[in-house]
Order: sequence, then C-alpha cells, then structure tokens
Amino acid sequence: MSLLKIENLSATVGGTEILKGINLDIQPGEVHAIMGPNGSGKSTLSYVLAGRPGYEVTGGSVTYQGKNLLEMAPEERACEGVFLAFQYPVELPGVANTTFLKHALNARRKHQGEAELDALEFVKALRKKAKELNIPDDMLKRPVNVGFSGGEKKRNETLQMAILEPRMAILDETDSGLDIDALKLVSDGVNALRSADRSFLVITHYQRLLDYIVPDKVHVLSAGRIVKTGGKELAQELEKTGYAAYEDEAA
Amino acid sequence: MTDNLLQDLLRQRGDSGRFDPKEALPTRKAEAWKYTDLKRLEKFGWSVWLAEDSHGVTAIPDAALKIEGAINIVLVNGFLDRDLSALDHLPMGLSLEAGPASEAYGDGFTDRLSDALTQEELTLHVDAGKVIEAPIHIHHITWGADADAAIAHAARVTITLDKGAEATVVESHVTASGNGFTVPSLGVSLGENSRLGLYSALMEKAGSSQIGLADIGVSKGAVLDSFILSIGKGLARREVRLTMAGERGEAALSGAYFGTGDALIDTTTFVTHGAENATSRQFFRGVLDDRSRGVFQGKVLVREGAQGTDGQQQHKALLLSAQAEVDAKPELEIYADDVQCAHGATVGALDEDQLFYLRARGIPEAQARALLTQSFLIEAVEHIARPAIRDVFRDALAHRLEGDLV
Repeated sequence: MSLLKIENLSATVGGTEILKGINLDIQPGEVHAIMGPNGSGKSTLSYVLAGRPGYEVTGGSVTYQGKNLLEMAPEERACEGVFLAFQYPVELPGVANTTFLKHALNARRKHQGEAELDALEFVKALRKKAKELNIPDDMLKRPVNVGFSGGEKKRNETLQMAILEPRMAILDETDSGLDIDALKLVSDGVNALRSADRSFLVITHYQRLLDYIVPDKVHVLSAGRIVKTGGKELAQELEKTGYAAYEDEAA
Repeated sequence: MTDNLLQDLLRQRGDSGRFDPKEALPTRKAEAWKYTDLKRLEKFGWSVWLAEDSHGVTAIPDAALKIEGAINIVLVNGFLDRDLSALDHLPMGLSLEAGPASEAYGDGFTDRLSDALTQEELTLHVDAGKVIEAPIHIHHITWGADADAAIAHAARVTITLDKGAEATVVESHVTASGNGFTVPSLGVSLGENSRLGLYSALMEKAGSSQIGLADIGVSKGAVLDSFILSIGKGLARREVRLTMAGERGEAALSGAYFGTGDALIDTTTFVTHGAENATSRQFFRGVLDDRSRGVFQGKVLVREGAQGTDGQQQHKALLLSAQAEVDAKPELEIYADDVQCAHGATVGALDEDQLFYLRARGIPEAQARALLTQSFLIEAVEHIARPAIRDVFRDALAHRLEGDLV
C-alpha cells in the first residue's frame, strides 16, 4: 500500500491557483525528489500537505496510510507521522529549544496512547541525537531558532525530525542557505533516518542536495504540474539543461 | 457599610489625613483614573487592620514565591511579624527596623491614601560600600479570619542604599485568606554608584484590590534593575515614580502582566529625567484573557538641562479574548534638545506563523497558544538582570499560565 498518494491535487493561495492537478505515489521506504524552478508550486505543495491555514485545496485527494490527510488538523497530521522541515524555520522567542521538542514529542506520544517521557530520559536522548548533528548544548537551551545561522536552523529542523521519527518526512528546500559542510551534516542526519518504512519527499531547486540524499525517483514540477518523472539520473540531466525546457512545456 | 467608602476607612483610622471631609474615591472622571474603575471596592465592607489585632498566619503561605537563600521578612496585614521574619544574624551592613510611619511622598490620591492608612514603616538600610549578597524578600501577606473577611491595610517600606552599596530586594504580595484592600508604598533611594535589584510580584486573589505606589530616586552613577510581575486575579494598580536625579544613572523598569476573569491590571509609570546622561529603559508586556483589562500609562519627562538623556519605553499587549481590553497611554514630554527618547505601544493577537510552526510539530492548538503567550511574556521576564530572581519569576509566571491556559 502507498504511504502517501496524491491524486489530481489542486490548490489556491489567496485566490490564485498554484497547484493544478498533482499526482504522486510514494511507497514506504522511498525517497522522492521534487525539483522545479522558483514559483512552480514546490513550497505550496509542502504547506498543503502539512495543513497550513490559507492554502485552500480546490480539488483532488491526498491519502496517507489509507486515511484522508486533508481532513486532519496540522497537529493531527504531525502526530500521525507527517513532518515538514521548513524552508524558513520560524523563530520562537522565549520558547527554549528543549521545551519545544519536549512538548512536540509528548504531544505525539499522547496521541499514540503512550506515556509522556520522563524529563531525564528525554534530555539524554536529545543530547545524543544533538551530538550526532553537531548541535551544541547551548543551542538546545536557547529560544527556538532565535539568533541561529541558516545552517543552525536547518540542523535544528533535522534534529526535530530525528526526535519525532516521522513516517513521511517532507524536506522543503533544506539545502537553501547551507554551505557544503552544513549540507553534508544535514544529509548525513537525513540518511541516518532512512528506513524501510519511512519515506521522504525532498523538495529542492538544485541537484547538489541529491548527491548526498540519493532519491529513488525524481519529479519535475513546473507551473503547478508534474511534467516529468524519472530516476536519480534525471536530477543530473536537469543540472546540465536547466528548467527552461520544462517551463516551455508547462506553458 | 456607608455610602462613602473612603470616609469610612478614614473614620476607622480616626484621622482624615490630607482628605477633605467629604472626599470620595476617585472616579473615572479623574484623568489619572480614567481607565481604572474603583467601583469593585464597594463590594466589601472593609475593616482597617489595627496594630492590636492578631492574625493566624503561622508560616509563609505556599502561594508565596520561594527564593533560595533569601532573607525572608514577613509583613502580615501591613505589620512586621518578628516571629516569621529572619531578623537575627542579618548580614553586616544591612539594617532592618520597623517604626512609626514617616511623611508622604506627594499630593496624589494614592500618596494621601497611603499616608492616611499606613501605621507602620519598615526601614531597610544598606551601609556605604556594603554588598548584600542574599536577596531580601519582603512578603506582604493579607490574612482574614475567614473567606469573607475584608481587610484594608497599608504597609510602607523604605529602602536606602548608601554610596556604592549593593542589594537585591523582592517584594511580593499574596492573599493567605479573606480579601485584601492593600495600599503598599515603597520609597527607594539609590545613593551614588549604588546598585539595586528591585523586583515586585503581585499575586493576590480575585476579591483583592491593590493600589500601590513606588517612589524611586536614582543618584549619580547608580544602577537600578527593577521588574513588576502582576499576575493577581483582582485589581492591581501600581504607580511608579522614578526620578533620574544624578548624571549617568541607569534604570531598567520592566514588567509582565497576565489578566484573567475580571482582573484589572494597571501599571502607571512616571519617569523624570532631571540630570544629564542618565538612561531609563521600560519594557512591558501584557496578556489579557476573558473579560480582564489592562492599563498602561507611561510618561517620560525630560527636564530642561537633562542633556544626553536616553529614555526608552515599550509596551506590548496581546488580547486573547474579544471581551478583554487594554488601554495604553504613552507620553513623552521633553524640555532638553540633546536627547534620545522613544516609545512604542502595540496591541495584537498571536503570530499565525509561529502558531502553525508549533502545530506542524504536533502541538495542539490550545497548547500552542498557551506556549506562545508564555513566551511573549517571558521576553519581558528575560530583562531581569539577576539570574536567580529571573528563574523564580519565570516559574511563577509559567505556573500562573498553566492554571488558566493549558
């Protein structure tokens, strides 16, 4: 059974149609990449899947683990294992990173009928995962994303993903604003999470990220539609030819 | 009960003080009380607590703030309780005495009311050059014989730091039982190059009303760090008069408040810059839920000749319910030309991007709102310069919010 099945999905933002009939079928364990030029609808797709208010679905369906994803509140989707790594992680002044992660993890555990994690156990697990992502203790104590560099913010998103252990992770331009060392670190973090029952949807403008997170399938998104699907070699091809050919096709 | 609550209180004291024989509590027609209605005081027949009355407080109530290593000083219904206070073995250079109340601070209604009702004054003095490491925690406790008791009392605390002295003072207000109408006054004098941390926590019960006054003078080179946490459930008005009297003085006057039910929380500040190159910083945050009301009246006056003044004031409020209300009145009055002064006041709702980010991590909407509310207020709490006090105030705020939001 598909983990995530998107059929003929269309959506508007502020009255403008951005997604114009997306079809996508992701099996458990697969890594799919969506590439496309700016304005093609990549981020809109990620927000629609996460349930951001203001992104209105006007047609089609999204089935996740056999359930209608579009009927769920954003927090319900998250608790069911959908995770969006934000392109622009939001700053939360006054909310310590550790507190934030604890609330998030406990919300998920509560949803699954598990007991809340003991504070000491949690901090131990958190420190271990943070160390793997080269995140110092200091960053765990600081308010979420406040004063973090671009690379730190993306590492922090990856840490959240590692703690929350989603089934369907959507990475929205995780490579933007990263230097090569940070890119490698984040990719290693993602790769460590790859497993037979966890799927990824990697949204990116550049092929570079896909050298590190090697996808099973690559889709080209242009003007709100998927215009081509191929294997990992499609990403390399795009690097050489650019998006121009597809933009013509969509038009 | 009489038809004039003020005169009734004065009669119980046996002295009308500086009030006219027919004067009543100020109404909203008076400019200084435009946003703060004192009508709720009429719900109770208040009894003025007198020196000969005896209370039943045997320990510091659980509701009080707990500050590790603090010198606890306890005032019940306006009078020093020597048994509950740690008066023995005070550190060298610190003296604490209770005696008859001294003179007034000014002519305002609150000044005169506190003069008329205050019977005892607690005097705290730090000798020149002495550094008092342990925080001094002054507990103001209201105690009534039963839940319906309505006790009126006024405590006066005078704090004097001589040249180069340093101290940290916390003054907190809780209700042990009954209802309190309290008029605490605080007279603070920072000598040259002295440093004072002065932190107030107003945490009284729903039936209580407090009209408090703080009059603070900052001398040359002295540094004041102060904060008002107002999380009580009744009426709490705090008037702060801060005078920058000496050059290069620095003062931080910040606060956070949270209102629920029909709480009314009023912060009225008046900062006067009367000397050159002094700095004042005001940073206030408030959150109002239910039918609660917030009032922020903040005035900065820069006198002629106070060149190089740096006076900043910021007040931000969040409204969580359609019935909640906040009235903010910032004012600047400047008579010097080389100054940097700014004020900002905003009222808004929670940030939608932040809310979505939390929800996208699985945190239910109600909890996400609570977390953001708390963080909004904690930004003000972070201004507290003393880490140990900051932690205690942060916890007290979180505890208060948990009771109402999550």
